[in-house]
Amino acid sequence: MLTIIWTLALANVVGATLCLSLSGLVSRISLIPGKVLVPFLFVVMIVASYQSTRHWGDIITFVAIGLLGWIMKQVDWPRAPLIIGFVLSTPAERYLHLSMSRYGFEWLTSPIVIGIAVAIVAILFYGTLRGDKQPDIPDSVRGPAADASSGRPAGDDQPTADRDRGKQEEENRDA
Amino acid sequence: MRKLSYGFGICVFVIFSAAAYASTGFHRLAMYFPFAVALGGAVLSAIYLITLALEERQSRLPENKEGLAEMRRALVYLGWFLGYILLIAIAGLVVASVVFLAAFLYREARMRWWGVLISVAGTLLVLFTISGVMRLYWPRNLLGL
Repeated sequence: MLTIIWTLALANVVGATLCLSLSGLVSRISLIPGKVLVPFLFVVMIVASYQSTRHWGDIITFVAIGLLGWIMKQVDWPRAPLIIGFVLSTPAERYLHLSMSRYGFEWLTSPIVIGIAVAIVAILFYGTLRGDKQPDIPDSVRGPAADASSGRPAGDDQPTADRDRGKQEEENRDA
Repeated sequence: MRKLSYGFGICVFVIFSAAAYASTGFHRLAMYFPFAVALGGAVLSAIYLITLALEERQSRLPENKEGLAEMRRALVYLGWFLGYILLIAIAGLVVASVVFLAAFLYREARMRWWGVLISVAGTLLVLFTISGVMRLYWPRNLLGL
């Protein structure tokens, strides 16, 4: 028993040391162009996806989900909630089933449930309000890609007042 | 891209609506979760479609040419990946990986032949080593290679 604990502790120490010392080197992977990196990743992902149930359906599902993710990116739908839903749906369904079979609809009146519901609604409202009040990001920060994806000419969404202020500042500097 | 948005939104709406309808036939306790999720999804996707239609009516934005070019590029990549998977099904993982990596790196990534050779050899080495150590299973194929 003690050996297992020591092995775990040592593995953590060695792992953390390796991660810290190699982080600079590993981060340079992000500098490799996508065209070079993608085929290797695809080979690894094909092998990894097949390990799930060892059927061809795993690979077909992998490709289908990849395609779904690409379409979601194109139509500007966030992909993260889908993944979170994928992970949380099974326990959520299980515990809802348990709550319904044990308490019926009465569990909805529990103070904890009401508190969590209020918190969720508040976060949703806050997120929506904050989303409406997002500050204007200058074109120099956004880059040309953002303009191309939005289908608008660069600087089209910059408020006139800001542009005028910028011009005024330039004139002042020249003076 | 707008057509894709409409198509995707309609697909999501149909799937959620069908799931909501199907869940009404489940046992009472098993029905609640899928019905609630599917109903919420159907309502939200309907709102999305309505918003999309309203936005289009208000401002007729030109079709994004950059997006069309990206779609063409993505279709080319999809062709590569589907070809690789087809080759795995016929000739097995090792043969397919060698052919796919060599062809993709040489043609798409414009790598030099010696770089391709080293990359393919390295990948095979890693693949065999990891498969041996972790006892991984490789996809079955028609030729049994």
